[in-house]
Amino acid sequence: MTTICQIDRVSKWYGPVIGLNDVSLQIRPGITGLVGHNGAGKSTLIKLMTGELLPTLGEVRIRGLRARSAGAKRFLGHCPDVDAFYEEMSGRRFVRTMARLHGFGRREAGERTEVVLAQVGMTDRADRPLATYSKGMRQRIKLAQALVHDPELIVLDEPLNGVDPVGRGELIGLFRTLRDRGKAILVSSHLLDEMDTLADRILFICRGRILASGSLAEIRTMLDDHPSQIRINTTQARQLGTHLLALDLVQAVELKDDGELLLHVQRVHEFFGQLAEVVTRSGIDIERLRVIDASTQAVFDYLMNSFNHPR
Amino acid sequence: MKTTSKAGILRRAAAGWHLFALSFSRLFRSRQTLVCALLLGLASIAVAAWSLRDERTPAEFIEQIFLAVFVSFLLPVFSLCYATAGLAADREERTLVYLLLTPLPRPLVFLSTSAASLLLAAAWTVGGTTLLCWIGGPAGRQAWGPLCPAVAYSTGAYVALFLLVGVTFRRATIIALAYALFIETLIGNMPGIAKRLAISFYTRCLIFDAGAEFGIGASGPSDPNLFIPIAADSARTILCLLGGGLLLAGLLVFTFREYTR
Amino acid sequence: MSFEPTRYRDWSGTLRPTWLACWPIARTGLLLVLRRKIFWGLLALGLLNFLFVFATIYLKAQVAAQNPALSRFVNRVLSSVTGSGETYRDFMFAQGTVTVLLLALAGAMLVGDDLRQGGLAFYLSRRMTRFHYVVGKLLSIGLLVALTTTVPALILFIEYGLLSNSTAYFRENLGILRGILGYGLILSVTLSLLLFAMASWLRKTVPLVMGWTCLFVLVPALAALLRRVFDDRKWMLLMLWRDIRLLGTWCFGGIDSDREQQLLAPAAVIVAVVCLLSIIAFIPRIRAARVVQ
Repeated sequence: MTTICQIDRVSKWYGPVIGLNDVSLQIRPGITGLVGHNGAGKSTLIKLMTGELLPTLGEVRIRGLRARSAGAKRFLGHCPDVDAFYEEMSGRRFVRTMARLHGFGRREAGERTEVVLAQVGMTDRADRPLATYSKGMRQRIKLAQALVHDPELIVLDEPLNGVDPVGRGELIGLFRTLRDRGKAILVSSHLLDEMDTLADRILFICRGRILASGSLAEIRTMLDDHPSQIRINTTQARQLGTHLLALDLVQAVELKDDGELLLHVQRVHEFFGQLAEVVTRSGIDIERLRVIDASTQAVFDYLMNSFNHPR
Repeated sequence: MKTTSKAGILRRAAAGWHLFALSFSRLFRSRQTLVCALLLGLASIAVAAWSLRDERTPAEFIEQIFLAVFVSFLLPVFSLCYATAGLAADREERTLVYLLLTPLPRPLVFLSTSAASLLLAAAWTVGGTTLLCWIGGPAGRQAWGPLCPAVAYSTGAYVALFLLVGVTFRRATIIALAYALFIETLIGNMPGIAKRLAISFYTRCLIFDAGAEFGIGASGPSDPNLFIPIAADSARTILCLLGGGLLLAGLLVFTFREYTR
Repeated sequence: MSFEPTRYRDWSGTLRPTWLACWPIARTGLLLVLRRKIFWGLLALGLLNFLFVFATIYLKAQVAAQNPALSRFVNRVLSSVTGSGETYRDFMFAQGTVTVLLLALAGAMLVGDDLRQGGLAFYLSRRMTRFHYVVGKLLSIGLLVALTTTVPALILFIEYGLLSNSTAYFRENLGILRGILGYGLILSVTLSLLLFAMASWLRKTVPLVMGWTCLFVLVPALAALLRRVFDDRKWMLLMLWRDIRLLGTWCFGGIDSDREQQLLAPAAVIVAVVCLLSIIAFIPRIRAARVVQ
């Protein structure tokens, strides 16, 4: 898959404070989530990618061009976290202005504006002055201006902030459509629940370092210190527990009330293969099976814990 | 490849032009325009009152009106109104990020917005001079011709200085005002050649030279022994060099600086 | 489901009078301004004049003690610093530019931002009224004015007294002390009310600064012009800073000329009207703020 943004051994210092510490990564088509506490370095990483900041060491390139260069901006769309606009303009005029500043002619800019306004669901509300918009509407207009020049890399800083649940669903749908069209999308968000379903790949960042990157399942598997917890509901809990205890990948089995088993398992995907064999062989019915700590939140908590309390 | 590159240049030029038009229209519709109109209105009323007497001379107009009110207050204030309301206001209102995300090279962003500021400031200073001279009656109208070039050169230098202040400091308006109202006055009243550090010194030199035909010069409060004027050509050259140099400095600062909201 | 307040204990102390809430507002406002580097720059500019007068007093005292023959010459050259009321009045008057610039900067920060960004609601959701808020803010602006005018003048007064040969200077010049405090009070009250009113309407820094400088720079320039045109000193009454100075001179008990005596009453009326208009101007702005108590 083509690399759209290449971050190569980048460090950023703010005087004596380090914002980003020797970070290397590649952003490819698909949705990449950026997760970290406040002050972890998310904003620094985003500002380096958008060319607002210059790296102290290393370099950031978008499509082979330095991120700060004017040429790289053709490939970049950014939805900043600041809630600032040219307040006297209407939403439509603001997006069209951004299109004109990207070099589109009057007619082309108008067409592009209508396309992106439709994408973000603002076509019929875009003629009001920006100052009268709700937070959610402002987020949509910010998103529209980021998409207006059809960039390959879209960097979204907290794009779902202030958007109502229905709107969130619509915007997540839009992000997926853009991904399907081959765009690379970097989403920084503190709404970890949405990351579970949204991101193909997640970057966990802490104190200026990338702690882990990859799909959620991959990262979860890498966490050897924290076996996955699987909850199984069955009518033959005791019998199934006995069978499962014999497996190497199962570290512990807890028998709960009302026919529920809580398993502590390593390499969960391998385990599922073995579980299928056991179930087929023994003829036990499983009513429900859930991996309870493979969410972004759980993985994030484990990673933070491991980082803050290394063995 | 050549065609693509040419098309790219044309697109950039079009975007640069659009940025200029956008800046011009936003600046023109800003509160600065109202403030400038109010200031000029007040000055116009005072000049109208001044011109009621018949026996006014161009020398009186220049000394009593132009130097006392226009050069020492309106000229720097008109310049700073627009020079610090361009990129500096974008920075303060945190909308600069949108300009920096466009595929326009930073020098072009600076030059486009600066051109809008310069054009508006010049329109107000030269237009204001014209208006006051016209209201000032025959004396004012006679003085208009010699005064305009001095105002134009000074506007360029002031705007370039305040643009530099705007891209360098966060509180650009306050710093520019402190310079225009405090430091310029302080330096301008110092003995010796220290006053050559103030832009208004060169403006006065140009006005004294141009107004020599009306019998004005470094006299009265501007005692020649204290004022020590320089030749008009030198003053003009210095204002041009100063304007160009400060504009270049502003361009370099804007190009290489990190603006983190 | 019942809420178990197991870890919550009621406040059992006695709350202090609401009036005392004005002081934290004033203190916070001052700290807010003092946090900015630009404020220190302006204060340093204001200190230039103070240091000059301070050094002059010291030099004169030193020369008088060590070389009385030279003293007369020095006194003639540095005749503006005599230790009389005029010295302190002129010093406070000369601090005008810096004070005006400083207030132009502080206005938006202290008042404009509160109204623009809803900061007022935070104050008023406490156990205080709009009146306490206004008094607190006026106090912080007044303290800023005092910091550049009254306080340095008092320091100069103390310096002059300490460098004289006895405590007689203090005893014989209590009127000067009253003058400094009176002039300072008029400055603080008038400027704080005026700034509060302007900042509550103009709110943002740039328009406020422009309006403020128009009032204190352009209007005086035009007043001087009109005075010359009509040959009438009454036009000078348009200069608010000068009107306050006239009242200050009265506080020092030293209006000598008849012409100034004639202008005293109109100047007092103008200052009073400005204060009154300022109060009338800011009341609706403060009332308009929506607050959840």
